[in-house]
Amino acid sequence: MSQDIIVDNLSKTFFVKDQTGTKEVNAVKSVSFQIETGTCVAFIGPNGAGKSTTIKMLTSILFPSGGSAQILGLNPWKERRQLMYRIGAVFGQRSQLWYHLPARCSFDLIASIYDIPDKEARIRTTDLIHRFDLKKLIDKPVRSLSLGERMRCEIVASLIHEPKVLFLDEPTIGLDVEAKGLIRELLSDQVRQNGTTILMTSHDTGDIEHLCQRVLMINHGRVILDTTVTEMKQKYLPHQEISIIYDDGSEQIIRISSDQSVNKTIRTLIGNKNIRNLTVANPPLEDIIRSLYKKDKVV
Amino acid sequence: MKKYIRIMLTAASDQIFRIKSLLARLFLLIIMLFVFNLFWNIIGSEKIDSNISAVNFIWYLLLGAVLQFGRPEGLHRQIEGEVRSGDIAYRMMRPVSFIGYKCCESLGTFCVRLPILLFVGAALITFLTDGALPDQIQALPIIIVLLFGSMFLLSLGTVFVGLSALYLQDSLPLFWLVQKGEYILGGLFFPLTFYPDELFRFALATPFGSAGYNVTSLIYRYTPEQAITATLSLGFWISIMLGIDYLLFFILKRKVSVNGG
Amino acid sequence: MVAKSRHTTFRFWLRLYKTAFKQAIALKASFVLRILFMIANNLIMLVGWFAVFNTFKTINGWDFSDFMFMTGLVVTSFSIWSIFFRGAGIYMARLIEYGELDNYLLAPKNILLHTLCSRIDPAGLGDFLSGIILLTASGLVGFNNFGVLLFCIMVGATLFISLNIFLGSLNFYTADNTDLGERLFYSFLNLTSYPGCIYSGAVKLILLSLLPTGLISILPVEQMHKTDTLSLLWMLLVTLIVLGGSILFFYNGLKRYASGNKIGGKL
Repeated sequence: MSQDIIVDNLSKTFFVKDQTGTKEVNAVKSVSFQIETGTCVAFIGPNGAGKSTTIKMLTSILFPSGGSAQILGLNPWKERRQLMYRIGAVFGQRSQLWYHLPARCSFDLIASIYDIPDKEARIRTTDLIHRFDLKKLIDKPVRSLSLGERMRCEIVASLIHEPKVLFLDEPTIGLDVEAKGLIRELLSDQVRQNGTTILMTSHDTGDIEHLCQRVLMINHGRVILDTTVTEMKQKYLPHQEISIIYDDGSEQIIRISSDQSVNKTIRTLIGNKNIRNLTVANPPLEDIIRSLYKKDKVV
Repeated sequence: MKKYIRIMLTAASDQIFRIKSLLARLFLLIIMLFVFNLFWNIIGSEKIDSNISAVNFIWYLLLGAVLQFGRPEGLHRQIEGEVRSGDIAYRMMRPVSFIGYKCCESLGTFCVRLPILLFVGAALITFLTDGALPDQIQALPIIIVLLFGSMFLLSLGTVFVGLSALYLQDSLPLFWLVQKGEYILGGLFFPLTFYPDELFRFALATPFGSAGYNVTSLIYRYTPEQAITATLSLGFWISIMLGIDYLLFFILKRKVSVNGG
Repeated sequence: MVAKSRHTTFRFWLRLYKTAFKQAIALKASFVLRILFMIANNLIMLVGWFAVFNTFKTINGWDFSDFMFMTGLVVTSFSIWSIFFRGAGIYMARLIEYGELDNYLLAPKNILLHTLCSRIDPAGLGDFLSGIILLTASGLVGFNNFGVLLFCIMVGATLFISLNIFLGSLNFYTADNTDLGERLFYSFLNLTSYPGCIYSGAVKLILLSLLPTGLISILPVEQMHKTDTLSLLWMLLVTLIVLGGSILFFYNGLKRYASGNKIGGKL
């Protein structure tokens, strides 16, 4: 399989002024990774870790201070225009839609931004409207849409030119459970049907579990973990919970750390008592991630 | 009352940190006084009114400019935003008068900007006119006090413009009109004595004339009677505008609660 | 291939204007009010000046018709910026301040032009109409100098646009310049709102070169009375330098673009 995104030693320094003078902030120190065609990768890390800055560099919005990157074989800073025809981006807290106009107008304009002939644009938009269930919303002014509805329109707006790579920065921020679920479904369809490569940031573990195969964790401007979602769940368990209900009705819940053996613990607990029910539960993904954020270096 | 003073103090200390805004205003003030001085030297003073010298007029203009640049910018835009987004409903939850709050913000800003604008402007004028002073310079303290009244009246006008967004969708057009009223009828751009008699008397009868010319021209035509007239006229228009603003706000309150469901 | 790409590019700009126009008329009452009030606004200002000229008849050789022509030219040039390139100025400054330039950086089109052309101010139409009224009413425009008039409008419009590109781009360099830019623009406007004849000597020289408001408020009136090629060439030269400088200033600033640093250093 070919690599759609190749990032090598990317770094970005901001100069921030305050009362005491100009300070250097190394938002991204040295980030390297590669992403294969057709995979969906979660790009996670605590606030201020450098996620958005990295994504903005890869989409050519920011100019890096050092390092290099190739998206679909193109250099984002030298071949901006060619690259823009082939990638898309959604920034959850920014809008690309015209506020007072129906989303349809924005879609038409976006089609011309990417030089798509009218006929072709109509076919693609109709298909996307159908898939994203926008029929009822498309002719209402954007300002009257709910956040979830608007976000669906935002995603459609960045799919009209059929990008090979899609960058999503917190696409589900502020949405309710139902709207989140819908957007996850639609995005995973997109990966399956069109082989789109997705790199997304999110603070929502649901997004990661339901959508992504791989996790890239970044902290203090460096990649600290690069693994599959399944492996992260198995390998980096901070603890497990064993709960036992005995025949006599009594209950026992024990939390063991990841270096203790489950087998031994259960044996010593049970002894020769009879048990009615026994469960070994993994902690929620959120706990796993939180414990990883505390470490500086995992791999 | 204490809380309104607190609002003024907060607005004032906020201004102290906005050095760039202040510098930009000073720059504009300097350009304006400079151009006006040029203009005045060309047309000469004796042609209009033998009582009023060039020095008097440029001081008069400076006081008008202090009013113009001493107020917070975009107050009408801010209120319009609150009206349109419905945020104004949250404002009503606080036990403080909305109109009073906005006016105190204006006055607080004015507290900081007035001395700076006045000082720099006066220094520039003294330089341009070789140190000549206007005829009634001793009235300056009284004028400064009255300028706060003018600022209060102008702020009530801006609040009215902002609240009008309820009916107009967009308060900007009305803002332009009010601004031109201040320039032309308030005499912030020209001394009103340039005008034919009828226009002059009409301008004085408007709130603009009351907030502008009536107060600022005291710098060369001060007499205790004139000062009392200016104060009474300010008081009259302030109470009228307060009434209008409260009426509009009252209507708005009912509308918002209907919309809010 | 070239022909085709030209065709699609043209279609894009057309549609961009169409969308911007639709957005401008989305609030219908506001659209109409802005046009009407802007006309009223321009004419009211003239009443004050009429009173002044009524008293003095001529000021340094200018009469009221000269002043009307000058105001008409300022307002018409201003309206071209307002109608076609309103993206320059405050709008651009806000895009940079709030990191919303991202959307333009993500589109495969020329960033500067795309930004400039994505806003239309309805008030500009009011300015345009009042400008035409003033130019006509001044009685200074005839068949023989119509070309000069068009040239002067182009010069004026280019200066307004360049100045706004420059002021809008200030936010690339240091934070929080939106208000500063707006005030500086008003200072510039202030210099063009008094009759151009009042400037002489060193001040006039500065206004014809370093701070070229004189190319809008001084030279055109002189050129309408008596055209001379040297002055026209000078106007062209200064305008091109200012335009080029502002474009360079924008692109140089773009390299420093920090994308939404405003929101508490969201990294």
